Amino acid sequence: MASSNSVVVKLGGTLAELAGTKQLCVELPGEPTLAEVAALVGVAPNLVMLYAVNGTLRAADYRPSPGDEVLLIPAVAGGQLTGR
Amino acid sequence: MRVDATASRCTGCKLCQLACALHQFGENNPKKTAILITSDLLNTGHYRVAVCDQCGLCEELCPAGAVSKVDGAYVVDPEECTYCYICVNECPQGAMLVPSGKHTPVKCISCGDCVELCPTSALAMVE
Amino acid sequence: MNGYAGKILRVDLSTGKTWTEPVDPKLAREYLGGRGFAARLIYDEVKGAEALGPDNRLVLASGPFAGVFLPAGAKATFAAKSSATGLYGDANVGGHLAAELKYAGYDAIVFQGSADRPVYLFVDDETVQIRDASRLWGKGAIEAEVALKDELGEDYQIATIGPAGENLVKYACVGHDIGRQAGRTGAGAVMGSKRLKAIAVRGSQTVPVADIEALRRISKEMFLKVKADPGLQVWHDYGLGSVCSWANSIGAFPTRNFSSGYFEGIDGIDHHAMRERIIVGSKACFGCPMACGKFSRVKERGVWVEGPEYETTALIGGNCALNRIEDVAYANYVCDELGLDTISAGNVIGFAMECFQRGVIDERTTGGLAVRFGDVEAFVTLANRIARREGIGDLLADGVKQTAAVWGKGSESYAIQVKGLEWSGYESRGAPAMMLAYMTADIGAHHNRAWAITYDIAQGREKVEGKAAKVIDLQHVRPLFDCLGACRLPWVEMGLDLKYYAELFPAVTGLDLSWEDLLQVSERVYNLTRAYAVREVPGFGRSHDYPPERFISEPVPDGATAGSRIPRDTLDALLDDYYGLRGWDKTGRPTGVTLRRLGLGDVAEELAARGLVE
Repeated sequence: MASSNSVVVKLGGTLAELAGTKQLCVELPGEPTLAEVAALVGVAPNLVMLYAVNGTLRAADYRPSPGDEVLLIPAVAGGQLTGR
Repeated sequence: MRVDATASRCTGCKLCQLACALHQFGENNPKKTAILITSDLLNTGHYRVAVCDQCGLCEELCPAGAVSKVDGAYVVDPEECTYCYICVNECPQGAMLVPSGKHTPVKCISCGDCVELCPTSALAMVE
Repeated sequence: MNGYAGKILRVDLSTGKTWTEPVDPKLAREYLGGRGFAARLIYDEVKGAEALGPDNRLVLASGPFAGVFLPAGAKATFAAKSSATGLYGDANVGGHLAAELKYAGYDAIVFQGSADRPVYLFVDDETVQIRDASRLWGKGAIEAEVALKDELGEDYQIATIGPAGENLVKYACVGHDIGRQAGRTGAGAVMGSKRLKAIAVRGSQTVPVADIEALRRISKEMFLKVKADPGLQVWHDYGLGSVCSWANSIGAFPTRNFSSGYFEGIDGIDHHAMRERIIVGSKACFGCPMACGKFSRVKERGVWVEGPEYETTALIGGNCALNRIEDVAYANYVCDELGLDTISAGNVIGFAMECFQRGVIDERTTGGLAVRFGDVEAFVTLANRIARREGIGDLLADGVKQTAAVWGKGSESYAIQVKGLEWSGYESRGAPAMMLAYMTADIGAHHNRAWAITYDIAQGREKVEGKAAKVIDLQHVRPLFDCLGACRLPWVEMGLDLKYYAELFPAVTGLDLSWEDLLQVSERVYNLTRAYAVREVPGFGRSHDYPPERFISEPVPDGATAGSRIPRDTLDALLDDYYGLRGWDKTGRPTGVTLRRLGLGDVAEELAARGLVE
């Protein structure tokens, strides 16, 4: 169950590999930016090409509200980011 | 049920034609299709979609009685078809097609395969 | 042959003869198709020939995945001995050509010789004719394509060249589908040298597959997975334009002739600007759910263009400092009609702009034209002069390396190329793996063999260890798609698992090759194109793998990679590692052992006989 101060984070394409999941619910510590939300789920912000909140593209410094759905879209990834 | 096309959403990928040929003939050949995508040369980046709207004119006109309605869609019986192509020539949608190597016209039987796959939802099943 | 049309069409433009040959099952098994077929054909048949002479071959090849019910079986390879580099060169194009070629009954077309007047090749299933194209000669690439479609019918798939190809600009491209291009390495110039203005293909035949039910099941799962991906809408809305602002934010966006990786004018040319100001619709390649092609309208100029794609915005936008998307799109349109590769053209013109700024050249060199960064009119004037080889354009048409060699005054250090091919859209001083990818791409400085910049970021941008191994992995898996005739973007961007492709291969072809076997095909091809370079270019080796001096000695001035450069000892460490892992010697030549391990024993013998391997 989503708590009152959480967002749903969906990870597109290869970012799911870094986070180890395609979707998760994240408790927000205060009012983080989207870049900080990415870091929270284990994705380096500079690997995220675009952020969308509830289906609308937003800049990395946008601060999502509780209950929002955040989508992290990877940069052209050319395959796996880790290992060989 | 019939397939309804919103041509403005079409990107011209022709996946519907591939899916149609697979369903109708079990072949990899988008030319053997009952849905036809053509690009508009005068308006590049726009596409025309020709697909049957199940109006039933083919049944009305068929002199051999080869067209009948089955589960809400008109189908052509290859056993009865005499290849007169009146239906092909008169179809208001231009959606009765004769694939190369075949004689019987092929038309949409509302199977829904193209609708399921269309990546931009340019196609929909409607009553 | 499941997955194949089963025939190769041969066209001798000197004699006017055409004939077909069956596809050798051994060729299919060892080289798959596309780039693999092309590499073997060119290795076998183009020995010591001039790139722009009648003895060169132009290969148009599809692959076993092309035209088949799977995501984006749409890729055709154009290949030849490259006019830009003198090495094996290829470029792929999406659209609908590869699929149509298969439906017409051919896996590939191989052109040889040269016609005595402008011609085009007409193919309608078994009907193959070399037809007069005098009335098309001189027309723009898109103009000629539309004229042919008007005459033949919308259902013909057509490839054309523009004036740049006719006038043998060394980086002229081949256009298809009104705005797509096989861009790199000058296949358009090779077509021009053969006086082949166009290729028009239509077919009606079925592509047989080994297991149609397995194919339907696997592909349907792939298609539905992509359709359900929440990121798909972004591709539909923005296409590859969305890469621009990200590349800029990580300091990889080529700016002012690669003097920086950060462009201050990005907001005027990014995906938002594109969507809000010019995009009118999406245009997909055959069987592709992503539709990354955007069709745009530049209202103030009254022109339509497919794009701009990322690479075009990077090389024409950032690299020439054009900060309005309308200007980038207009310049894109001009290049498309002229038949100029936008990557090389943007690189060459950016170089001319820097030389003008530095006083290496002045109005006397340019014929009175001020060639300044940010000036779209200067860009368009130069593009036209290049395509027609007029004035300064005659030299620029030979590429940035040759131009720098003539202009001198140290300009060689900022002629941004490897092996004579202009560098594409990623400034890589802060990305050792990406730098190595450019250095070792077999066609010259292009990103499609290995795209490793996110690996640099994920693993640490300063780190060098392990980067060569990753580059080699990518150089096998990515070009494998070019052998198969499918686009790699559904894997790269939508994250479709490679295991799907491994399952698709036997379903389509019935061949018992595992994914590892397929990757070995790709490795074989990579070694074959390297062996070709060793055979064709005297002294070819390590010295051909270095990037320009700018990246070695000049730190990036600003942006996320400010201060980065890539010292020569780092480059050498990367190359030593790379050659060692590949089984090449210290000079960068494949060893006989390596060639034989890959089933290239005949190549090893030939090179040994010439004293080129031990």
